[in-house]
Amino acid sequence: MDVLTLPLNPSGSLEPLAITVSLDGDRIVDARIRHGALHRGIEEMALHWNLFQVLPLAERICGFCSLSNALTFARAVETIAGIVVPPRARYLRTLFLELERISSHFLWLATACHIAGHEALMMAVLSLRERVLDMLEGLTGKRSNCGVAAFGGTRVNLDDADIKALEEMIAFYRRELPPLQEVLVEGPLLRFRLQGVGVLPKEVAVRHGVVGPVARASGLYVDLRWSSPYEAYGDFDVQPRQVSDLMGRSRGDAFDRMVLRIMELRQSLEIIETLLQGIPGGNVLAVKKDRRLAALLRDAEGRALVSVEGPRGESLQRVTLCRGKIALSSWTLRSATYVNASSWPLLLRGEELSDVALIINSTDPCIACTERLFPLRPSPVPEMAPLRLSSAEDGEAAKEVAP
Amino acid sequence: MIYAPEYVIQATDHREVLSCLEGRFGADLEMPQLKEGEAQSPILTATLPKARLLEFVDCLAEFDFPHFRALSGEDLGEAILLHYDFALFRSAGRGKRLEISASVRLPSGDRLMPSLVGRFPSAEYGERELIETLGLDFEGLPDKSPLFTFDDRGRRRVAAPCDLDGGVH
Repeated sequence: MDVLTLPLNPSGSLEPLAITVSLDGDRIVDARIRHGALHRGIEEMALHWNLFQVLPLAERICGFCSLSNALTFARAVETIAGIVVPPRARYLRTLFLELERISSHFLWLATACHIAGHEALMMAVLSLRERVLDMLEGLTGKRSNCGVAAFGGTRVNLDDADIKALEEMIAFYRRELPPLQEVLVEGPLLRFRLQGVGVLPKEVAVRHGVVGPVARASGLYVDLRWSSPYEAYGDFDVQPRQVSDLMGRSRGDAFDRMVLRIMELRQSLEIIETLLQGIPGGNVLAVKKDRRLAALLRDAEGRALVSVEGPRGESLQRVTLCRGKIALSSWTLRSATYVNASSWPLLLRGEELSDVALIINSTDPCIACTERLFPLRPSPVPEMAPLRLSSAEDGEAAKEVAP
Repeated sequence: MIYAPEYVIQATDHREVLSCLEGRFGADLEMPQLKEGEAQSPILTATLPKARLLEFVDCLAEFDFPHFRALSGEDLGEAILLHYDFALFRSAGRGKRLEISASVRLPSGDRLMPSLVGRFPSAEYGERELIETLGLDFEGLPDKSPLFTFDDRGRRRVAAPCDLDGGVH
């Protein structure tokens, strides 16, 4: 067997990833993923800022799960500081999380159509997505990074006109989703391209600990909104969606991942409708005065590990606060992609070279969330090789960087 | 050790899990605590010596396939504190999930940890990241190459001076 090793540059998967595949003909026999093309420095940056500055920074970890990241951070700080979020704010947070899920899933569907070569379908999906972006803009003033999260509640409140607009949006999607589902799920355009590609069996999904829609499409009955309800999810029934409920079986391939996301779009609409029916009155902030909130945060001490079921899966943050300063002692972020990425080589093995982008993107990767850290620290790592400015070979002159 | 890759649908009582771990590990399990509250999912936290980490994980696997969530580390100066985060009963029902956070304190000078990649393939990224960030070594980790820091030749990536003085803003 002649094996050809082929490096695919970041453009090879539409994501800033370096993938090296070993090929037997067109068939992938091995794949190696390398990160490092997108340094963010977010974790390190946050340690130099105060908590009020870190909250919008957390929102900017990723553009499409911005609220999930910001809310995870806010919830971690609230847990340590003992701040109880008012019921109305819990409902609003849940509502915006579901709006974000709708926006993210539509974007994923559009990307899938693009990679599969159906540009017209992609534009149709993107035009549907416009409605939820318009909604976000109307409610918050921004289409992404909406700035909804605040310590102890939300920055945004809804009035009757907003609720009416949300109901109209639900009616719009109830009308527009069935024809889209017919084209995508029952029609041949994507079915022939996605079925049987990038199969992740249930047992492998368990061993690799995959999360979010990828796990559910492989038949795992997992969803943080159900197993560890947070915010308002505990007030009503949320069941993890399963492809077998719609298709009668689940294969765990790229097609199932698409079907599941369409099912979750409908689920998000149902959740928003339920939220609007039961939204309580009252304040949206537990602590109204910034000075009092700052005093609470200054006295807070401890660690918290908090996770949220974002559009791509479980987004986890570990936050440590020290008494006496309104700043982080440590902050660790783990996005869904960080966990799901371990399954990529397995998904690629045995598939065709032309399917690389399709398979990687079927897991809805977010490299911006994954490469969020700043790993080069000068002081506490004595064994580390000296950092060099030049990439010259060893022995050649290289300028050392003084920490 | 490879566990049966299946989640249980019947959760064990969280206090029973705690008492079983306490009985099995005795004084080696420092500050075991089960926190249950409205703001946070039920979480079991404990500190244990590194020699008993694998045994601890195997003990969790007797209840359910442990979902490996994250591995993170804090440099405390005199020691490195590693946090291994798991979840049990992912599929066992509404509100049944139990988070486990096991901390291991590595004294200064000790940089070797057992790898969990044989049990959980998704632990690879966390372990490779800690090799880069904290200079640790993981026994049994097949691929110890840099995860995020490399240049075009596969070597450790260069850093700019502004990266090192903390003045990123």
